[in-house]
Amino acid sequence: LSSDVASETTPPPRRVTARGAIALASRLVLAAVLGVAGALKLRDPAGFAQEIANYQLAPELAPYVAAALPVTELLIALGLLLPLPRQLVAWRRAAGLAAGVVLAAFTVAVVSVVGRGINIDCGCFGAGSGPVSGLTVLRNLSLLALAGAVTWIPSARAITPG
Amino acid sequence: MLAGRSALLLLCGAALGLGVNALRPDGVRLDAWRPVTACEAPATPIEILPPDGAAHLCHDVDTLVADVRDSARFAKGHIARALHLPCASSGDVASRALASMANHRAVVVYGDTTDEARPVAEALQKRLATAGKAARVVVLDGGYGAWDQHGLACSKGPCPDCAALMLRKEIQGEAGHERGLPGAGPPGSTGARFSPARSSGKTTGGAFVQ
Repeated sequence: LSSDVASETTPPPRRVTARGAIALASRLVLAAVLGVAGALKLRDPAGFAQEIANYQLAPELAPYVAAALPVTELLIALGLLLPLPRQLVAWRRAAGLAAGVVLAAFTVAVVSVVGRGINIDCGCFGAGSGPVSGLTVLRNLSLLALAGAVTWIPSARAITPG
Repeated sequence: MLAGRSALLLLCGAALGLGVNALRPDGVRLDAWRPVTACEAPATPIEILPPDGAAHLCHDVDTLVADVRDSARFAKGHIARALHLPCASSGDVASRALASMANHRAVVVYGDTTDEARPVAEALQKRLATAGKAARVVVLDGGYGAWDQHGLACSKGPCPDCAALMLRKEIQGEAGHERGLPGAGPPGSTGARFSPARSSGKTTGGAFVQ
């Protein structure tokens, strides 16, 4: 009887699977990229607004996006990084999905710029981020894949035997 | 549930960002912020051509002429085939203008004075260079006034707007009062040859008058 009680109260040992490791790595990389991008953009909001306007998609919205986006990126990075109790792990997946939404919007913007042949600075990491190119699209798609991994692959903590 | 949490996270982030921006002394001013226009772009050295030199360049059909003056002055009279690209054009308008310049080898920019055209020309030159275009950008020395005094006009190449105007004037029975109308030019003329025209009592030497 005592062994049965012990088996019910003692949490089962964690087992890190390959999928869990991928989810963890994706989460850390995504958090680092979004955190750095948000912090750099936050340094010069007016300059970032100009970078957004240069995309020629909705220039009138540029100052609003410039004000809101950096902090949003930082909040998502925090959501991805913070050690959360099991009950709140769903918020980590929500942060992954939010990152995916933001990155999907970025990808649409850079694909549009590449498609229209406009030569502008990316603004992805604030001023001096380099021009928008096919590589920018590839980088965004890779980050989107990471966001998908964070959102849809169960984390190492959630994977337990039995 | 997941989507709802994500939406909440994004909304909180946006609201927090707008709040932080409002508190920052160096935050972007949401109501007063304007993107940098063509005139405010950094300046680079630019070639200045006198009216005769610019007119020579204009004979090339691969040359585009851009008028940077405001709409009222443009409407009073401008160089034939000129594209209206006022100084206050947004980056979007400037980009569309750049797209139309893609197939031209040279761009002649003018205003009422040399200094009025110079900033736009410099910005165009910079943006063309950034876009990998090798178009030559020059400023008309003395501006539209100098061109007018020299009685010059681009007399070669297509000019659909001018042709449409002339056709309209012919229909209105005013064509006989004009000199240099389509059909009155030398053999081989493209029908876009213009000579001094008169409009509203003002002689506009060589200019296309709307």
